[in-house]
Amino acid sequence: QQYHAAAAEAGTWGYVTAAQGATMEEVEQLAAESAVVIFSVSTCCMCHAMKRLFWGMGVSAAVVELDEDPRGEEIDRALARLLGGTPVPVMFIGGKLVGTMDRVMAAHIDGTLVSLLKEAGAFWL
Amino acid sequence: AAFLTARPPTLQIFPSWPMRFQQSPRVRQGSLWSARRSASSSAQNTASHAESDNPASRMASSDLCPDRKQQQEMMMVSVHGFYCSKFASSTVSTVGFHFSGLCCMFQRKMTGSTARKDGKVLDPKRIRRLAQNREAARKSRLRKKAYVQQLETSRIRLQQLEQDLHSARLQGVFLGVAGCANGPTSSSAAMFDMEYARWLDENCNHMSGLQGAIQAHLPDGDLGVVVDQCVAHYDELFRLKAIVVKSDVLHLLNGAWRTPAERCFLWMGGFRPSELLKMVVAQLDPLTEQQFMGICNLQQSSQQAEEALSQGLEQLHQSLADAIAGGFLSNDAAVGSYIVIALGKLDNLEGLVRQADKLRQQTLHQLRSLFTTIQAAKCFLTIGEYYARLRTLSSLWASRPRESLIRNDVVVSTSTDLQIVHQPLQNHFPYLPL
Repeated sequence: QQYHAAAAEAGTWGYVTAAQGATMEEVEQLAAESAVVIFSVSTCCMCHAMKRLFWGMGVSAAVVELDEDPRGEEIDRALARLLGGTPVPVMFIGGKLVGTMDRVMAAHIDGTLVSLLKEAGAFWL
Repeated sequence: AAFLTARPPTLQIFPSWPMRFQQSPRVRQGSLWSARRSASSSAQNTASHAESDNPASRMASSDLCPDRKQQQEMMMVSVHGFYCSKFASSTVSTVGFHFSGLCCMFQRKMTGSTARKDGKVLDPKRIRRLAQNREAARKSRLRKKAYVQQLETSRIRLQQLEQDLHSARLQGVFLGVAGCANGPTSSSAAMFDMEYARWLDENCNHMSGLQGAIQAHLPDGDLGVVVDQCVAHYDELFRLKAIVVKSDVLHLLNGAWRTPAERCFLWMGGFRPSELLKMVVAQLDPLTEQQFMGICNLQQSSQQAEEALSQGLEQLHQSLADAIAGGFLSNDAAVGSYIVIALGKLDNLEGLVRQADKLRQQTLHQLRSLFTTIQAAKCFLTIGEYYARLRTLSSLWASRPRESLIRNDVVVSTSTDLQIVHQPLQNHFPYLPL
């Protein structure tokens, strides 16, 4: 349920498909494990950009490489059901979905990303 | 006019007639001679044989009016009309005088030997010569008519072609070589260049509108409307870029659509937001503490985002280079695969440039909301002026004097054409203000 609430909050889509099933729970589990979680593909340049963004901000993000993780394909499908298309990189902060690069960039420019990170205790210093 | 009723002239007095026509009667006469020898002595037969010999006249005679005299008069009238349009009326009458004068001379010449009208005692050689002259004149008239008709058809065809080209351009079929060093421009790139040129023109209008509004000390509400229109105009540019980024991202990246000086500062197919922010902050001095903090944060966020995207681009470069170099010395089967992989990588470029454009757009919107109305007005005016100066710099750079020859202590300098400054646009829009 926390998932759907986060989706509504993020507001990147109008209609959320009921992403039920074990895979969705897995995603939520992984997302909750760290303050900042990025689902990525190692060869994807956009994923690389997102990783560097947080690295540049001094934020340590937990990265799940879907092409290296055994559950990668299922997670990818679950994320695709949720966000449509090929969504990676996808970011979660404090267990809540923030969204794809589009959303992350916009949040960073208008200042909301930093407050989310602070809330989740993502900054070390 | 007297010359309308006179005998048809056989002398070439039409200055507009092309040279070859002036020669043809002589040629015609030559062929008539040979035709005459093989034919019977009557002038009529000579005429008909010569006519059948000449394919041009055969062609021309097919659309002739059967009535020869009517045709002659028609030619006379058209010639008269032609002269009327070209010369003053006094000149026409002079020409007419000459016309009729010549015809009178001709007539006198004709009656000089024997009376033509009684048809009895006539110098046969004279008759033949007269017939030949008449024939030559007739052929010349036919040739001229055919030539004029050809001109008319060509003119209509040219109009049609121009129309087709214009509509094809609008439909994006145009594959023009825009003359820039980057090779042939794709149709979507050419379209974008044209749209961008128009956008630049409109931007100039917005800038002068802003300047006027500031100087007129408009109330905040009205000024705000003008500023918001400027911002909306920038949104329009990003809409245009969003279209071309899908079809030709490399065109955006190589900056062919920008002037040379602007290209120095090009970052991922456009301006670098943090650079712009630095410039704006320096120009708009009296800022409140809050505003200053806001701008600083915005600048920092922009820088971080720019850095992230640049890193992403760097990774793309690396993987693209790897893909292209892949399988160099391997078996033939793998040769084509590098193309597929490389094209896929180029597709990823689209995503990065799109993000860069979004960053630019959001930065401009943030500026609008961070500032007061009057500050925002000055801010956007500054931005507009900044890029106008860059463009001016580009054109000055292109037209700077260069030492090419040194003769007798005099430095002869050549300057490159201004059209080199902004080749794709200059070819389309010579009026583009630099």
